[in-house]
Amino acid sequence: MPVPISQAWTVASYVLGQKLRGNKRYPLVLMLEPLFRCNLACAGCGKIQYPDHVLNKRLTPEQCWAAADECGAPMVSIPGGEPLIHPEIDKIVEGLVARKKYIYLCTNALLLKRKIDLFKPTKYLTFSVHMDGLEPEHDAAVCRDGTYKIALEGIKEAVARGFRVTTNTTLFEGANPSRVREFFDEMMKLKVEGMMLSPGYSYQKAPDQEHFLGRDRTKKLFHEILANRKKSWKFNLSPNFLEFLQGNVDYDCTPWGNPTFNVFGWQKPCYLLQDGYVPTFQQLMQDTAWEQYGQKSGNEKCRDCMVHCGYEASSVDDTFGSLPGFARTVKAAIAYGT
Amino acid sequence: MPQADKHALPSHKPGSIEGTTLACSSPEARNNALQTAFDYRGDVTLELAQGKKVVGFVFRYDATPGVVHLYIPQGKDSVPQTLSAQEVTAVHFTGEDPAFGKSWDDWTTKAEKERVKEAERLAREAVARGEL
Repeated sequence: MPVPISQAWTVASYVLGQKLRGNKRYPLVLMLEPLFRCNLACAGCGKIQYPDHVLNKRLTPEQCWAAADECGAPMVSIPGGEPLIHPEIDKIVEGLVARKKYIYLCTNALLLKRKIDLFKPTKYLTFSVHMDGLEPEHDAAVCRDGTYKIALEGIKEAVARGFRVTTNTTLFEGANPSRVREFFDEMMKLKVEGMMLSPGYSYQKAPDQEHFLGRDRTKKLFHEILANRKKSWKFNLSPNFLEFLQGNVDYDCTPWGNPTFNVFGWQKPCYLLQDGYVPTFQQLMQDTAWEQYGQKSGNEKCRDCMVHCGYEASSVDDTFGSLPGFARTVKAAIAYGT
Repeated sequence: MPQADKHALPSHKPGSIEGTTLACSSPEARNNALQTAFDYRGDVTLELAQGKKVVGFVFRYDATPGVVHLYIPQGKDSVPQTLSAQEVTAVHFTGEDPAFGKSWDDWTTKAEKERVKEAERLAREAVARGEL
């Protein structure tokens, strides 16, 4: 079971509660970016291209906790930048654990071994380690040799100390399915809890707009990777999302599912697009013209996007939205062994 | 689409609008200039009425009611400031465009030696900041 029962139960009861209250739009995962500074400079990354004075800005722990309280989502993902650079990341995590949030701390793991003593193992905290493939592919993707080996050491250390650890993989144009399958085998040997997967897609302001996958290519690639999958592979994703990536089920985007808060405020409308910022979560939910986003809206920016931050929430909503959706989930869960 | 192509602005960095200016000669032109400033990844200089200038990073622009939110550099950090869009008479893209030359193509077309040197330089900088 890649996700503890308590987490599955928390998420299920939260979503059912929203459904019973008739809330059509509710957040599932808060994307909390406490800083943009990173210790890598991956080519094409759109999250770190700012002037130094902006890269030096940090959300305070109090701002992070207030965002989590205001949003109310049961899960908090902490990407960045590199969150382990934040001098108060331990305090931020501690406060979120006290709020019983399930935290995915997304890290390149370069500092994991050095900073691991700051954290205590708990079911609420998962280190989600950025791994974009086997050593040559990963080091090329992050534009620095030796990164894969350091990340591997970080994963081993965290697993040995009893932390929950997942990998987080983004696949771009040119990914080789058989190499990706080999990579899955290697990650599972490390005894990670599960693997997260997503097709890459351009951040609106990313300098690289050429190497992101189109929709048909995404489905073909993920079908080639996941068809005839091995029983040893565990995924930390909704089984319906994996079906969606292969084109076996169709969803529209749920851009409010993973709302993003960072040093600029609440980002409209989603983690990838930056159409504006508002100071409160309530304003984000009320003032965003949600109908203008998602593949079915015809918005050019959303046309090829199949990223987890928009579609994982759609697949979870499908699970609890109807009996056929629930049946689809059960069937897929059995198929994926989740 | 690169901003320079979108706005057909001549730039000393092809594909970037760094070093260019958008005049705010009408409400539409002002709105376009401020939206472009919001999309720009570097600092800008906003020229205000009576020739006053404000340098900073536009992190939020609310076309209605017409408010610009900036981070004004102060030492290594920056502080927020808001001003009325109506005050802006021109937008100069004066700060370095940090996204320029950072695409995957730019990376792969660099010679191997250059790539290694750049990666090492970035790593050294991260170490110097205590982030690696």
